[in-house]
Amino acid sequence: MRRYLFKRLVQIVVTLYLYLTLVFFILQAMPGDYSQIYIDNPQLTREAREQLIRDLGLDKPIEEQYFTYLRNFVIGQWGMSFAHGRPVWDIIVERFPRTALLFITATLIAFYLGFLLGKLIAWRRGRMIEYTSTVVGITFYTAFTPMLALLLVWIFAIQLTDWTGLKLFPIANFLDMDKWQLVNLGPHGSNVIFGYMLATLGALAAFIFAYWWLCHRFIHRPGVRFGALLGGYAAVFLLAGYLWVAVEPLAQCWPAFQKYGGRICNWQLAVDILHHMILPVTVVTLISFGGTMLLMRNSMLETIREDYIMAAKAKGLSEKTVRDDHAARNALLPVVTSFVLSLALAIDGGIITETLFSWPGMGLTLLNSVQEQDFPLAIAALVFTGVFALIAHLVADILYAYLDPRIRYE
Amino acid sequence: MATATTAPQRQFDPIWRVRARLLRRGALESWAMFRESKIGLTGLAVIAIFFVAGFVIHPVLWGGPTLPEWFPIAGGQKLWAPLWDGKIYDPILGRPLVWSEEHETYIFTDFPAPPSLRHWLGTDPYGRDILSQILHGIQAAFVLGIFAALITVFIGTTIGAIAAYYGGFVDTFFMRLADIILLFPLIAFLIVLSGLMQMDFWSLAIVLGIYGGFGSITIVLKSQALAIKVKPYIEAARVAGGGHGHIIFRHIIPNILPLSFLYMMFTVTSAIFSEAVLSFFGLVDIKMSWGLMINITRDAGYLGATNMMQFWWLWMPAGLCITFLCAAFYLVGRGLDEIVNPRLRAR
Amino acid sequence: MFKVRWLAFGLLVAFVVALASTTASEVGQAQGERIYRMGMLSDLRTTNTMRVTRTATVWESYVLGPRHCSLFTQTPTRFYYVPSLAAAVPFRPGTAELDLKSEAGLLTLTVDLKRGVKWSDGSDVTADDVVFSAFEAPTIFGGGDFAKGVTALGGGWTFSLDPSVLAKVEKLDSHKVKYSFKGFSLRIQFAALFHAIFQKKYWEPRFRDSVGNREKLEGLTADDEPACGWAAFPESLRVAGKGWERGAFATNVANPNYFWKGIRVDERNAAGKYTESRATPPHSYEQDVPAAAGPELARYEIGPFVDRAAYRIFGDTASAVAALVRGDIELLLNPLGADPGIRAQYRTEPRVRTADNKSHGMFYMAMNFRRKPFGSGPLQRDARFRDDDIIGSRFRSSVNCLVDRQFVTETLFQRVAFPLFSVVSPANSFWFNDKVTAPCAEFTELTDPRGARAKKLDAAVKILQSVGFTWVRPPRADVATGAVTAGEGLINPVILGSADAAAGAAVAVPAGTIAVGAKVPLGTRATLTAGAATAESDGAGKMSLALPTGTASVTLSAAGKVYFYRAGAAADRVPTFNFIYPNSAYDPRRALFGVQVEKWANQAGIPVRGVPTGFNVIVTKIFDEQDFDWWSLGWSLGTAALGAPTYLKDFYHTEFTNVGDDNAQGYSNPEVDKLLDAFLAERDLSKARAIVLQLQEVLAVDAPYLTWFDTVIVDAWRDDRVVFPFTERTNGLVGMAGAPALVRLR
Repeated sequence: MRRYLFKRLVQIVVTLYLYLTLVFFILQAMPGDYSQIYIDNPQLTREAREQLIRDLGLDKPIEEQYFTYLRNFVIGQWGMSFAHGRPVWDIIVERFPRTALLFITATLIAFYLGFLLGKLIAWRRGRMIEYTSTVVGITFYTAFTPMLALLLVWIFAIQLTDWTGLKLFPIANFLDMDKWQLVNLGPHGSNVIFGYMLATLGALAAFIFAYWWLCHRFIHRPGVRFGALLGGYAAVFLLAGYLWVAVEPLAQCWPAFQKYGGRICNWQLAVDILHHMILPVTVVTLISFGGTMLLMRNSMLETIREDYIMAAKAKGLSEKTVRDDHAARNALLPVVTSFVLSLALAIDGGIITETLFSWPGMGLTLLNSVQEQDFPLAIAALVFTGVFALIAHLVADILYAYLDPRIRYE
Repeated sequence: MATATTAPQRQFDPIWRVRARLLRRGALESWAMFRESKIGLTGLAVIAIFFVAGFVIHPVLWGGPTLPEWFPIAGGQKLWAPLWDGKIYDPILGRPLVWSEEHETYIFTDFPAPPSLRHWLGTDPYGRDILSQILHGIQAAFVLGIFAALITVFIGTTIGAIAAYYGGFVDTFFMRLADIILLFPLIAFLIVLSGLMQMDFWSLAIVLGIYGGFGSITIVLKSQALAIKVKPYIEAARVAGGGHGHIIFRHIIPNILPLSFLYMMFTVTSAIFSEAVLSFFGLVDIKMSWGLMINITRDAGYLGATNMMQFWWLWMPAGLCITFLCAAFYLVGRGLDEIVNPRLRAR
Repeated sequence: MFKVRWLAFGLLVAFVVALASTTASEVGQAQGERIYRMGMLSDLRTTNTMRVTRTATVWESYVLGPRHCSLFTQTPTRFYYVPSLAAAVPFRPGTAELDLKSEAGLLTLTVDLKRGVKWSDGSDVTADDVVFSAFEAPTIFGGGDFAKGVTALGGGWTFSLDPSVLAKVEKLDSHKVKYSFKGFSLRIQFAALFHAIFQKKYWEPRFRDSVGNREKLEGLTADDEPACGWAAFPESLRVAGKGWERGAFATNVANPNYFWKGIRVDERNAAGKYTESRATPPHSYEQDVPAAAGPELARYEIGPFVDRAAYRIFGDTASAVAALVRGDIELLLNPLGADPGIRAQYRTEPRVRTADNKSHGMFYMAMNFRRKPFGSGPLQRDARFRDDDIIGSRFRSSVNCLVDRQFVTETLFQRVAFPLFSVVSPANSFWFNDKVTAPCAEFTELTDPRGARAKKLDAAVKILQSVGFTWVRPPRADVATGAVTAGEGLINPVILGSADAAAGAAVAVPAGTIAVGAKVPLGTRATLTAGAATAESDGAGKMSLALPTGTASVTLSAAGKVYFYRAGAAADRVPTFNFIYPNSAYDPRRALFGVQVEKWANQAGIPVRGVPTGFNVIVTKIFDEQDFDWWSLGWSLGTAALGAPTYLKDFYHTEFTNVGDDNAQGYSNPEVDKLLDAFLAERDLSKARAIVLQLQEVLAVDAPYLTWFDTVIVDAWRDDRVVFPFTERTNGLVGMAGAPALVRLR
């Protein structure tokens, strides 16, 4: 196992190196190459232009530029953003948590839904439900995302407001300006809340996974196991709630306008962010559950043919038990891998969603930076996305190795 | 398969005929299997509808191809008369004109106009006919998708075969490259690229084709090619003095080609979708496409939450076309998957 | 287990519904606090004034603008120059000319400051702050060298405190400063005296810490900077809240020490005076102002009448517009103008009101003067005017004649833009020459859908023929029936020779001549006669005519130069060339206009091919590579330029034809250069205006730019929540950042 991990690690490093090299040479091969665009900025004076050429090392031979580029990547000097006038890395650190929270949540929900449906349609192969789910899933999967997002906004934010007279769903942004008006979370602003939320989400997910595994390992009577699971989950959710309302600094409170009772606490700010997440999360869920569903279906179909499923059926176990406890759990493996990978590609798919919902994460940043000709930022965002994807790939491999009992690596 | 069976028959049949027969038999078998797949057939039907609309109905409405000037009969004219007046129905230059008998001239009408007998799908924010733009968009989508997919197939099969045949460093290199491409954020990459270079229709198709060609297709085709590499007839060909090129291009590639057509379908989907997204953000220099139609609608302010339903004809036809055509190619790909991937075949 | 999973999913949905209903707000809920909410279409990049003074986006100027004040300012509707921090505009008595005095080779201007103006932290605004902002700060930054400091600070600093004009600024007493200039330039008015004033106490240590290091200075967090304008960030005023919540919103809080609060302003009363008055604390001021055409004059009281102005940040226009219609914000700061669809959205909500205002900018096309036949050939700095410029001028005129601005703006654009004929926008009413028009502008498809195209084509063909252009297949235009047949293969004329002509003397025509051109000095009116044919000189002193067959001599009524043209050979055929205009994704309007122009030009046999191009590529090609034939772009000129159009020099003076400069087309006309220089050196506004009016006439016929149109700014606000004292002004409410200091909440 350790050898396998080591080998994978080396491979990832090699791949990362290849990736960086690829990006460098693609940029070099551009007509007029990208550094020219830096220098051709009409706002620059002649001296500034020459200074920039020296700063960028463009007067140096290409191999030296290449090594400088690699070194700067490693030491975290990703350059200064043109438009923002501050280090690119700062901007990425500022935008990434917003994207992470939105897409981790959305991907979790989409995979859960896809898992449930995929299991179902694989089991009912050839029936009407399979064709319907497949066609609906694929249609959502290939749906033109802007159209889907706008339709949802129209239904939930406009029509529903007309019918109920209440603004049930916000149409844009990630927080309500009026609620946050008197809040001052310091230099990192709303990212503090995003950080707390991500930490909570991570802790909950880790606990749920570990607890589920422990219960299945050590409790064998279904009734008892069910009770233990329910109790454990309820306890941990209550604990999280308690932390948010009673323990500093999580439970910090701020002044607010009178219409919000004059006081607003961090948990209410977090709820406000969640409220703004509903529509974008729904969009991402709808467009991505189809992929998981089909993957789960295929994976299930392969698993069903395995001998041990036949054996389980022959033993006279109920169909549901075979499906849920034997087939589905093993078929889940490729789906877990795909989950990690799709998290990595969230930034890619997030460009449209973030733009349409004014969610200022990595995707919107990338699009804006290209529109503003801010290439240091655009390229850094691209490189960051790729690096993040590679690391996710490694995580997926490790998970796979641990989860799949059939894989024994030499 | 091919060489092994042809050897004794050589004096009777020329090799091409045998190949053609085998190809025909293979195609028929595949078709028989494909017919089993309902989702595949659904996809194929949708593609056929689009194809007829774009490549049969559109030319009828627009008039035949223009004959060259030197042509003795009707040189410089269209082969048959268009049903549509270009002044009104041109997808880019058309105007919302109506011939007025009273004034003996064209007069302007209001736009964007909802569907009517004159404009079946209404007119766009600049008074141009939506149906004409949609039909124009079909051609653009097909040409882009197929062109990109052909590049993908060409690169993918070549690299898959070469990687399998030579193995070693070549193999490792291309497999690592494919790993990267798999994880490469395509839309993000295309957006950055569009800022760096003039991205037009053909350069976009080429970029998408290359991207697809070095991606997952190489991994799958390589494993397929590996299975073929160890077949006895490859050894036979080598013994008979066949060079590397001969073996790769005559024996391995023809055998992995069917599988590559499966991946072609997914490339078409991703090409059409990527173009639509880039056009939606206004990052491609293209005269008319579905994505651009939605972009124009959005820029002109008709895609707001409060009025998008009032002006549904401006964006819904284009949006549905993108969705359905992408879905159709994807469904066909799925259908083919059931044939090519034996583990998914119904019991 | 199976059911539990679905149950979990159901619980999630229930949670979402509960979340939505508990946090939902009622539509049209009354405000507890007086907060004025505006929408912006982009995030800020910084809240540091020092970065913004170098390069500011419009969004930063909206949010940070209210912090600062300057010595002088412009009134919101008529753009009169009035004092702000200064006690009065230092005009020479009875004139509209600055009271400059000559002292030791320098021109000096003494400015008195108002007393009683305070920063938001309670300290007085004194001459020290003015001297610091206009002179000391750059000097400190440049390590003791003012000019070096200004250059190092760059951007807006070099523009307003141009060291080649500004020599020094000194404090005479606590409320009196003296500016010394090296010479006269109209720019003084717009730049040095309008420069933002910063608090010395706050900024001096920061400048001393970052001498020469712009990154350090601009990297500082300056959210707590004191303000002398109407508002500052909560951090600065030490109240609850955060000035800039990145990616979400920005907030300005009203400055309790705002000096102008409660002052009533009458921009021009019955006696022709601008007046300010307030009872407590007492304040009054009046100043003579000229009468000029424009919107109705405004009378208003200065606020602020709100506690906070909040700027919500949106990622795209559509959601911002929807937020306004839903009532989530009160006004949308949209400087891009509103397309018909956005107006349609506003119309769906009766509580949204809109106002159309002219914007100050221009959209144009231009041709590369370095290439034939668009201009006079490769630019030579020593030989600035080339003989054959009449050909280029006529070529540009013919294209200008083909362009139908009224038709495009009224029909295709549905009045989101208005036609523009002059290089000065009508929004700049004092300087605008309303008599300027384009050739053949009288023919338009708008009023004559049947015949206008043929008439325009016919006129354009005649213009081309008058300098000897020929065609492989000439275009045909039947003015009577309106029928048009496109031409093909335009052929350049060849210059046979030229001759000096004395006034009224006959000049012999060489054999083979088919057309004659002539040039007289600018401002001279002359007639060129050849047999029965005559041609009048245009505003640029140029004339040309197709020679009637058998004419042996021509006469020029004034002294000038005559040129003879013969038809070109096949080798002189104009090759197909490119017209780069913004693609429809970047600007659908210009893309559409570009396609139309391409088609019209093709009808006249001009072999142009349209290339819709992304903005970044166009800008690089035009300004950095100068590699183009025709192009189209636009200028947004802002209200700071509402006043003498000093930008004309940047666009049309020979000095600015280098790579990277604004005269990218390479227009070089020594007579225009002289006029531009004279205009910028003119101290008397009425004389300067006369020069600008003449310039517009010359530039309209010589056409270094073929101006197309200018857009309309559409302000939209929630009429049930806010009320403004006036809504009619150039660049709209958006142009004054939503008028937060004047708005009242209902």
